[in-house]
Amino acid sequence: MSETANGHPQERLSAYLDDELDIEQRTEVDRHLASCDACRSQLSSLGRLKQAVAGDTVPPVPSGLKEKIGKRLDEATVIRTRRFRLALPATIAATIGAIGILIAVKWRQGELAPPPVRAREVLSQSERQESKKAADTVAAVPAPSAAPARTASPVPPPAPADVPARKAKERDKDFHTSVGGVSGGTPGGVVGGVEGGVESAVPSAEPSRADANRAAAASRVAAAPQPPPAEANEESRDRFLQKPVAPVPAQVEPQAAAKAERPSVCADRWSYSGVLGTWESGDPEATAGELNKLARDLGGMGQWRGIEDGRPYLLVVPRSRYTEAFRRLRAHGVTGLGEPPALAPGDDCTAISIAIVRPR
Amino acid sequence: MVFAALRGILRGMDEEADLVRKAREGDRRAFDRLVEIHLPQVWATVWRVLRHREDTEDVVQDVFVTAHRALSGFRGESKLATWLHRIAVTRALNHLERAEEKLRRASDPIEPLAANGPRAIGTPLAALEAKELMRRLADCLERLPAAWRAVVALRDAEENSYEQIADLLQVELGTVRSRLSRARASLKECVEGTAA
Repeated sequence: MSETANGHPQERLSAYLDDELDIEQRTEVDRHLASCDACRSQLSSLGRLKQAVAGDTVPPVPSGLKEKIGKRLDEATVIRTRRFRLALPATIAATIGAIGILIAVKWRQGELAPPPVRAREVLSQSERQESKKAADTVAAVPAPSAAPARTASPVPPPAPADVPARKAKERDKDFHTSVGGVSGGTPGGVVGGVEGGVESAVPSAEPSRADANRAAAASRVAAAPQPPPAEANEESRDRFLQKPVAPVPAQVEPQAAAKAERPSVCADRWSYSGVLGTWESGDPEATAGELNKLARDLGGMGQWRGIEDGRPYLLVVPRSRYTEAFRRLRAHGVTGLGEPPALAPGDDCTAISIAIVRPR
Repeated sequence: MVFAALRGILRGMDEEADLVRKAREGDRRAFDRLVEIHLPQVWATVWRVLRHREDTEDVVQDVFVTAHRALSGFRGESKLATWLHRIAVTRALNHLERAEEKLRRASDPIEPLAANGPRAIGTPLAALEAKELMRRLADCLERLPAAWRAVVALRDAEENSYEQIADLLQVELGTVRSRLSRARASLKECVEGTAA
């Protein structure tokens, strides 16, 4: 809004009233007021309004509020005490959790586990000999119990394509476990969750990678005539990487989590238009259904708590569909709407209340 | 008599400083006494922003729980009332931003304008009876966008300077000025019944 409208210092009048103009600006306004009846009248009205706001009554503090505050303080103290008794201080646990998430994310992206094909390409003579030794060892020794999908009996190594896919599944499971543990929305939840998440993420990453390397080396030695296991590995790895995974909520706040669940663009930024219409209906539930459909058609959302609740249906629509909402409501026979009022700037959507009432 | 009044004020400040010190050391009764002293002002501030009883009760409780938790960080560089005031304004505005609160507030039963008879179109503010003015003002304040309502309350009801308001709301001084100007213009149109 510019300071002047048609030569009248609209915005400055408000600051003039509050004595918040500098000398130069104040002098300009004084000069203008001396010859402008409209602005003098406007100033007078603003002054009366200001006094009215100052005199607006505040309801008394409800009885019992002090006791409620005391009770909340007691509860907060109990929660804080309980939190301090947890094994790890929150900050240390959060740091470990953050490292765990980073490991999990890098693992997911394949940065930590070198792809077998690349490993095969760069293997030197000595490394190949070591791999052979490892393969011989793997064939003889049962797999550790940390990875439940592996068999413990000394059977010939499984087909190359299965092993990386199974390892990928285990990594995926570990990833989800660690993420799920960290995503608690409260400090207490983070501390408790991180403990579980870290324990599951970090220990199982190492054996899985080592086992994958050993198994890959074993398969290369034992299955040379077969199609290169690297391709199968790479294919499985690609399948794994393309597999949809839940996004990592590194720092989830309750409001952000709730936001992700809401379907409409109007979920967060709307204001009330001040309009209340009336829809007389012998079947309020069906009427609410009509309004829900209208809300969806207009790209908005609606809320109603039922006829017994007594509150109106709230229809929230994008600003661009506001006039259309009025037209369609009138077409349904909604009364009392009046002309669509001008909307306040800022919000993307606006709300219209519709009282659903039974015919008299 | 002046000296007696001054002595009273100083005694009050000493008492409060003593209570704050004890509360920071964990004396819960001292904090309860601070709550008792500051509850009316915190209630009034939050009410003026929210203008909803239940919400105000909830937020006022949040304010004091937050203050209790953060008291160790209160250095005494400003008055406790100022510090609490800042928490109250922030909490109240944050409360309004929560979408579910907005939904609930807007769906509370309100008296339809038609039930009170058709509003007089274009009644100049100066011509309104005081009682009618206050009634319309209460209705119109409720309809103002929260950001506008906050500046109007902080300026006209609590007499904060533009600079203090800018600091409280963490906005530029120019924003306070333009927001207040628009809020008043909008309120005036609403009260006079000339809003388009």
